[in-house]
Amino acid sequence: MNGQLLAQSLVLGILTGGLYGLTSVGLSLIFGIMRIINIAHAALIVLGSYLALALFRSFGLDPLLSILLLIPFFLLLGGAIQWGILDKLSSKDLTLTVLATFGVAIIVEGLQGAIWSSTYVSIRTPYSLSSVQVAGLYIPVVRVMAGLASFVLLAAVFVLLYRTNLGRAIRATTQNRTAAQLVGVHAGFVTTVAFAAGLAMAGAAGPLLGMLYSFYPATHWLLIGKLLAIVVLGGLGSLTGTFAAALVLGVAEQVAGVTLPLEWGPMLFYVLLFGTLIVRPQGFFGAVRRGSL
Amino acid sequence: MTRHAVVIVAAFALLTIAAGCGTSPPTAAAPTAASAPTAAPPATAPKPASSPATAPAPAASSVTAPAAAASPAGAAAPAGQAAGAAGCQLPPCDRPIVVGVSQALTGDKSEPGNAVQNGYLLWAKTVNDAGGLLGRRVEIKSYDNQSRAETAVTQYERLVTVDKVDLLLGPFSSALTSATAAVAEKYQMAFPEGAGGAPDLFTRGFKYLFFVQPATSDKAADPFVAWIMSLPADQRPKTAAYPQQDDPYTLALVGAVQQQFEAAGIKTVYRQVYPASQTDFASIAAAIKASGAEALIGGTVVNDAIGQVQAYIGIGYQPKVAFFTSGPGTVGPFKGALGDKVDGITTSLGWAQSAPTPGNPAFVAAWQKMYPNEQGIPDEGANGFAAASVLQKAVEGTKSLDNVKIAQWLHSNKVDTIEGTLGWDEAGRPTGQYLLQQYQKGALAVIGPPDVAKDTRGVYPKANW
Repeated sequence: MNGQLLAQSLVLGILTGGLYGLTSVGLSLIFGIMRIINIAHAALIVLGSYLALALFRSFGLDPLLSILLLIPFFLLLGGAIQWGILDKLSSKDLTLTVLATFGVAIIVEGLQGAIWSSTYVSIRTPYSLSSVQVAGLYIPVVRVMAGLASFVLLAAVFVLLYRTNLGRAIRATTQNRTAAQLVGVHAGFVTTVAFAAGLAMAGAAGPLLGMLYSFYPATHWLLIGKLLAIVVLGGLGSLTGTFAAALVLGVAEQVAGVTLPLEWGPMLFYVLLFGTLIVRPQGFFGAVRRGSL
Repeated sequence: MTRHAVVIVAAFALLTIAAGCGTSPPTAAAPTAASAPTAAPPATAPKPASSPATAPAPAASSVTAPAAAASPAGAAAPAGQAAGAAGCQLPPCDRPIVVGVSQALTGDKSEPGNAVQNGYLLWAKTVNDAGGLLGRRVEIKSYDNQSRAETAVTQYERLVTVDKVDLLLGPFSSALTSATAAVAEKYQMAFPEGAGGAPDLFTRGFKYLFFVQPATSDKAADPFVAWIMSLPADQRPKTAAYPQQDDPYTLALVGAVQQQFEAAGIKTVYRQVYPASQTDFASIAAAIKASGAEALIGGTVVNDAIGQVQAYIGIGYQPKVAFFTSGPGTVGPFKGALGDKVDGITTSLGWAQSAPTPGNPAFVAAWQKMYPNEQGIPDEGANGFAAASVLQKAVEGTKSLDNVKIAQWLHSNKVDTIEGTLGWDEAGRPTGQYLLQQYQKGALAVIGPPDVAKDTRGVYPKANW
């Protein structure tokens, strides 16, 4: 492999990794605060892609701009799912909640099929076939845009979590729900906000993924597998770990794409995941959990 | 709970790996009905209407042409369709002739799958408008197999044993036909299909399988190879790249090109097989660009052809010649996605819109009337229509729905189709040749083979996309 090809793969990998970061940090945030795996996460990302496509086709709205509409929509949707379904179940049995998200995934997929049919689609903007040239490297414009938008949105989420009182409350609830409640954090409200924020990240990632890849309703099953691998690799509940893992896997995927047989592609995430877990069972940044208060 | 998460991820990992290893389609002659509904969730696309073991009759969609229902049999029969005018020749006359299909209406092969299905539906409407088949109405009973071979197998089992259909037509893609032809063979049902042309399908001694395109896929690119070889030696491409989807049709076709190119001294600088689920073609494009391949031979199904071309454009890769197995022929989506970038792209198709084959102008007119919103006629639609017409000719030829007789008739007769006059050898291989076509000024033009094409001057090297 020559240097230019390696550089090309690294750039593409970092941009793709940023997008993986946006999709998986939301999943990790939800896991951290609720201790449930949101199986519907990828289905809702694909929903974001479909909504962006519909907005683009009907009103010519640029997918990047549609993110601004999708974030509030998914905040409300997230709040509704948490308040209407998950909150009612989590007091009974956490496993039920995971099953409920599974149900949400299936319902969302079915609705997408009914509304938009189940054939492949993708969001093709006037700049879909353009690329930028930097130092001899060709990078498709959509990849640059998706990567940069992901980094900007992730930065906003990290500012929210680490620079605001709400963020402090979310992190406190993540670390120890009971202790947070003792110092006056309204844990129920904070949980709803965090779940909604996680879904908003999914919704924002939808248009970006839809610009890069073609999709149909069932593609979320492929995506959720990747996202879960990223989240576990980064250390469950650790947002920085998740982001780091997303970058690592994004780059690994692109580099493997030019060096390894392509049949390996779908397995790559899991091979890396198992390799890491054997050496470091808690993932990159995961803390070893001690007993609750 | 952390442990639960790891267990769930592990389950996904195993499923993915299992799916990756099991890329070749099941070819067992004795399919098990239990395979579909018990599949683990990640692999199941939960469209409620498609699990045959659980979903009863409503899962099927039946099509009856309104014109036939409204008018008494034979009312509008044109000349040459004496059967319709003479009324029903094959009792029970009050029942329609039911043709069973399991089709890839959703999933990764849905684009071409729906095109084939539209070909079947157009055929049914055409027959019914002309007074029916031997005077009886024709009905297509179809299930959606979600592009999955094991589901298709179960659905054909159901069509034969539960729905007791009179006739069968094949699904889209060699992968699905390979698995389902075994069901047709088991129940001795004639199985004409326009979308399963991998050579492996015809080495199993099947007597009921008939591929309705001019040749099997290993011969499909012969006119393309002949065209390249007709170029002056110093202008031919010196290197070639072969990115291909793991699919029996594409692998056989691309393999045949690679073999002939290598024998002619065209060096292979890139060869990779990717899974059907691949949607990211950036790394493939980067590697091929780095390889400097002058000829690009893409083993594609449809959507991956679009994805590949987009990636090549994005990464600035410009081959001298670009050939794709399937995709360019699915005119609407292909041109819709790529616009004027399609010019210069070549493909081999069994059918061409401009071909002077029997019944082709009437087919083109009927298609455009029935599907006015589609941009261009997908070749898969023509393949579906041709396969159904072959079945029709055999029923008319034998004046019966006895599938053993129908299969025998097809083995010993030639049939005029919109893809030319086709005959079949003892294994069901057709004995014709494909048409080499190239996008020129936004439309497919036939540039080979020389005895068929009006103009054999293909554009070489192709302009930049």
